[in-house]
Amino acid sequence: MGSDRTRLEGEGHEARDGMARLQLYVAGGAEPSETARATLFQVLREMALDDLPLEIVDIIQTPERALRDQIFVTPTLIRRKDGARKVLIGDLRDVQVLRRFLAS
Amino acid sequence: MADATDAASFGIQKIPTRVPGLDEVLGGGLPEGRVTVVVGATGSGKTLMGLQFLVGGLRGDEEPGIFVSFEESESDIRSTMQSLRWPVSGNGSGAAIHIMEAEFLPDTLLSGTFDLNGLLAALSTLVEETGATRVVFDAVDALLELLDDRHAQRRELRRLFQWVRERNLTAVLTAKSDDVTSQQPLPNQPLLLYLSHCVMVLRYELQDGICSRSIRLLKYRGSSHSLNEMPMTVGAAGLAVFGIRSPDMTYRVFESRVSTGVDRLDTMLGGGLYRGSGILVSGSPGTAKTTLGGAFLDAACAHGERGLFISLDEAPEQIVRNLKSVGIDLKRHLDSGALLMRGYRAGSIETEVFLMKVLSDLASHGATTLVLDPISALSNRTQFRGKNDVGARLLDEAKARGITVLFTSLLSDDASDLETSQASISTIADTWMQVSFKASGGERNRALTIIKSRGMSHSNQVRELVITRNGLTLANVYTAGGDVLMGTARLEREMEIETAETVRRNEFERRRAELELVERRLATQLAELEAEIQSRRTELQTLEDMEEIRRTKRDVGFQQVSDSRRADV
Repeated sequence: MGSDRTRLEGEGHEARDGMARLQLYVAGGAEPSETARATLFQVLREMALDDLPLEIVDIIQTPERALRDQIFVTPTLIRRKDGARKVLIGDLRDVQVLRRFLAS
Repeated sequence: MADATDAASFGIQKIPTRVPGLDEVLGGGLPEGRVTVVVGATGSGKTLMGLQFLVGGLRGDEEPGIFVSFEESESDIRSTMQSLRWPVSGNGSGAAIHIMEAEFLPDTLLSGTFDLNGLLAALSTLVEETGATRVVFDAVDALLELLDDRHAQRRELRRLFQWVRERNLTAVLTAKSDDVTSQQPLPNQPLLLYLSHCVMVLRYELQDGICSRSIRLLKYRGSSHSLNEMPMTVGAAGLAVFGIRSPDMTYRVFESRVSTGVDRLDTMLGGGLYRGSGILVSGSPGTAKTTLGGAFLDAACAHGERGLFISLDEAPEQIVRNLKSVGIDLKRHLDSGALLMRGYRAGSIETEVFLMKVLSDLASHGATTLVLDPISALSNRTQFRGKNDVGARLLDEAKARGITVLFTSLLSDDASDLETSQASISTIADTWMQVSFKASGGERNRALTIIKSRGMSHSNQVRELVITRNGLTLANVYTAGGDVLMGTARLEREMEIETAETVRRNEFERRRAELELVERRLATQLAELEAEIQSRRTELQTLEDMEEIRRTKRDVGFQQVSDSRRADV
């Protein structure tokens, strides 16, 4: 799982070195969540962004995170960079949208 | 599945909304552990309905609630609640209304499909933390619309409904309808109609620039309910539903009477108006309808009643001044607090708002008598007709409270067809008086007729209504050629009668004096005669006495002579 790749937690942490950080909120083994997870890993590899800090939060396991981080739909991908927070929702099947999101 | 749902619903508990008037419509409240859908166009009051449902829980048993807002920010919702003076938390129990913003940031991107697991997980946590029993999903369709796949929309709705049931929460879900003008707006998500247990439709209608709101219960599984559209208002304290009008008409009826404020009119009505009855005074402009209304309240307040005077399109101050000039002093009742006067512009007040204001004034003032002057200012507007006839509804509400109501109604001069122009109000009014101008002999006089008066033996005579400096009265009746004489004709007849009366009285006086003179003369004669009798009696007595003396003297003389002669006889 991605959660061991980073110690970042929810809100409040800022990028320290201009590097983007990712959080993917999923709902256990629900189909859209599975698709999103797989797609995200694949695209990160393709874009050579494997080393981006990525936290995967399963809101079935930790529902309080959904409340605290204001996650309404799953899957939700959050990208933080230079204090900015961008949100992409959906199972990421539209890869072009995902690529633009990661590249911005 | 549908069978199981329906069977299960029969044992369902109802949770009171505490929206005034709504629980009566719902037969107790919303279905516990189920979703109720509130459908309506933008501005129809859906969000308020949801919020007020939560406020109702807080006010009742201090039930915590959760408001999930998909379109409005938390601060907007808080300020809405603040403006309505609604509590956001309970008294000491710690119960509160939690607002959860589930609105996406404007730059949120979308790629593919998603589910509501995130929301439901967050909510589950919040429900556990707060112990909430009531949940509102406001404008969830804003979120669902992002799912352009209809199948996915259904799947997520089912998920949400399932979640509500599993936790035995009572939920309200508001849904937009783009059918703004339709009589029967349907939600943009038709599936909502089938999935939900109860569906309420909110609607508003603009007519002559005035808005009237309504609510209709479209569906309530396992519960009998009225399908009628019912009026609804958004007032200073929130929504209120009106007109749960049971088909059974049961009012408390009174035998006691209330004065009309015109003594002779009370007599015509066989002793006054019945308490708790409805009176309609109709007439053309200037026929003293307002004065009659004022006289009624003046008398009522003087007898310890509490009065409410609703004036449309005329300032109360002006009415007080005008009535003072004819000897009806309402100011003393205003000062004592027995009378409350309100003035409204008929052209700029919503039907439902008007009704609500009047009913709330009736309640807070504790009014036992009500005058509405003139009801025609409202009834002439199209939307007040028929089911929404404000007069009929107000009368219904007032009668249910045992309040005696007097409506005045303006007839235009050419409204010859009384029966149709008065529509429903005259039907349900118990007493209907008509004031009109009667033109004859080159003048117009006010004529009052009692057209009907239920349960009373009332006079059928047309009477002249006279305004004096000391109030209203009815003039004496003189008929001539089948008509009641009025105005100058009446005065002439009165003078004629008075002249004849004077002549008769003078003649009487003369005859009496004459007879008295004769009597006095005879009495004098009688006295003279008696004196004479007396004097004769005295004379006679003297005579008799003298005779007695003479006889005695004679007898003594004889004895002496005889003794001296020693005669034997």
